[in-house]
Amino acid sequence: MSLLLLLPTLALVILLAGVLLWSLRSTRKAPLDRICAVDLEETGQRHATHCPQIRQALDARDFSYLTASGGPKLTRRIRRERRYVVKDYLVALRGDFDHLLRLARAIALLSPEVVAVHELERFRLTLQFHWRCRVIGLRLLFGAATLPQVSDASDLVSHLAVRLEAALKELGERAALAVEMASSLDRRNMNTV
Amino acid sequence: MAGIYTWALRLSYLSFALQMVVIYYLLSRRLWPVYPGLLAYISVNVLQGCLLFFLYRHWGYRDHRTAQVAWGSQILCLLARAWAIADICRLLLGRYRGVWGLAWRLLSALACGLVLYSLASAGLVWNQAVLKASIGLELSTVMVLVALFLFARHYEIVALPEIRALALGFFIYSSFTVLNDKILQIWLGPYVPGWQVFATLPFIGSICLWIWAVRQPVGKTAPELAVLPRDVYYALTPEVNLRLRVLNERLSRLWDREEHSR
Repeated sequence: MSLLLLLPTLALVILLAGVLLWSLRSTRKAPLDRICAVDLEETGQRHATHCPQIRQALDARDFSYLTASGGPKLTRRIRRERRYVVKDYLVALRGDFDHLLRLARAIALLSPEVVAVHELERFRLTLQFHWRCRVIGLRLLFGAATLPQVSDASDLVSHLAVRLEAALKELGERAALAVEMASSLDRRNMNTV
Repeated sequence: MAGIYTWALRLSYLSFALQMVVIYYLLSRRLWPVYPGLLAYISVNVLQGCLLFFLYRHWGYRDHRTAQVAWGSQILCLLARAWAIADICRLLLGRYRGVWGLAWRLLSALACGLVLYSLASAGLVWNQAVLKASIGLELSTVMVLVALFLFARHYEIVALPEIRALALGFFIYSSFTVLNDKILQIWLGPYVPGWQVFATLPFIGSICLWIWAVRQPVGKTAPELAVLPRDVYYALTPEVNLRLRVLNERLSRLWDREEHSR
């Protein structure tokens, strides 16, 4: 009985220890404060450029042709393989979006002041975004989403990715310019010492 | 029973000696400007130990005045520990002006909230109140440390090994104290001798981590960060948030459509 009273506290301490160890674990990424103009320019490489191929992979006419020429067995196999391709595509798009978030965090880190509301909102939206992406990904993996839905998701994400690409390019250019400005100021300060 | 008391006393001597080692390294390596809070905390602990040693001999171990001075002097220890933890926060995030400005406000609010809650929920019965407050305050320390490192991880800030060791030291001590106090709260009398031993053992572990931390080579001062112009943050961050919000809304609509089509 007495031990039962101790269990909630013990569980809480173990949970907190786990979270602390997880947060202390080092990441393989380069630290954000060492992000440079080149990293920012790399954000121009987007997976959205593969969108036409993904659309082709989901085209109903493609499957009709496959059924007519190779039979339903082949169609089923290819349909399954293409689901995995689309899933990987969505994962890659999520990676693109993560890159944008990383850029936003780098800007916050190098900024002389940040606004709590913006930072907390981004944190909340990021959690929401990852959760929704994961749910859609799982539905794709287990075939719970039908092909039109997959196509819809792909359309949506690729459309956003194109918008994102434009935004990233612009943000990248502006941020790179700002970093360059800050670096040149820094160099000037160093020269005067 | 006498055996356990002897063990508790021996462990106290060992902890005292190890704390003196930490003070020695902090002073001899001129690290006190870097870790002023740690120096204050260890010094207050050592002085508290000396005071209690004197009082135990003078008034005896079971005298209520001894207990009151012991718990009262703990307030000073807690304040010094809060300073040491604030130092860890500053050493970890202080370089990043904007993020540090946000972090210290959030962490202070969290710490104040937790401390006030601990004190308010402790009640007014002296014996229980002290123990409950102690559990609450130690739990606050643990939570603030976890929040600090979660914050650092969110911004991908890498902690130096010595900062990690210092934080882990405080985390280990506080979390074991929470468990130890909780067991004491449940069993009270019969557990008192064991409580003393198990209060000192994790503290010795923590001091070993701090000794390791203060023996690390003093790194060169980190180069100044190339700070971005203020406008960059204000121009870009709302834009990023807006795009993320739009994306979430669309994903949510897609989800709803799937649900309705079933």
